[in-house]
Amino acid sequence: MIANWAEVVNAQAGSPQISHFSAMCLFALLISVALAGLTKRTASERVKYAASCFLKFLAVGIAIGWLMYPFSH
Amino acid sequence: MNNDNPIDGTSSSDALTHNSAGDGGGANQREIRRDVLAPFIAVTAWIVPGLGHLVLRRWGRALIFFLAVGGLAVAGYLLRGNVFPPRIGEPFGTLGFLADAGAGIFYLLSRFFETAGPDVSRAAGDYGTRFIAAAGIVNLLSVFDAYEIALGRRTM
Repeated sequence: MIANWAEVVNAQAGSPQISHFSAMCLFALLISVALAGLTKRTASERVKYAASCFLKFLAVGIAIGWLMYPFSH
Repeated sequence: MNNDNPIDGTSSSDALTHNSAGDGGGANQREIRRDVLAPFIAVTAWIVPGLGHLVLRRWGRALIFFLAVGGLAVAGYLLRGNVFPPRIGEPFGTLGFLADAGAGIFYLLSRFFETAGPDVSRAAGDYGTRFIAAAGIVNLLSVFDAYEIALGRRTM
């Protein structure tokens, strides 16, 4: 069943389209959640840490993107 | 979430107290039991992300690691990232394989999710490669965490 579902998704996707920003957000979200689970104990601490980590990931990613901007021209 | 350790039925802090007090045979038996079972927990945690924590009754962590590792791996496969096969003699390929294989059962599921094969000629495929490697690394972190908890070295 999983194989069939994956085949359908792959066939439909063909060439999956995802923006750089979306990929960064997804990556940052999943890694932030994992790090929060690893380092914090209570649910509230985890939510706060994951949110903080996620925003920092985005901030650093965007900052590095702008730092590289001059080299792309 | 509690700190009870199902391996010996004590909390981590209890175990530390017993050990430092040196109460003889009981504490030693618990130590031996932990030493024997901790590697088993580590292997379990590697094969199925979150299962090691589930055995240790860390429900929250088990769910978080399963979703995070599974989410990263499946997203990587759907983006058609490169999955490194076991190959000896190529340092980067070997490192890539070690990172990918860290995802345990999700590494084996790659052939089901990525039926069209990898495509790193586009940015999405390149992102996918990083997602898959990150899934393995995150799972390896969870393996070490479960191992430390099983040994009673980590109380949280």
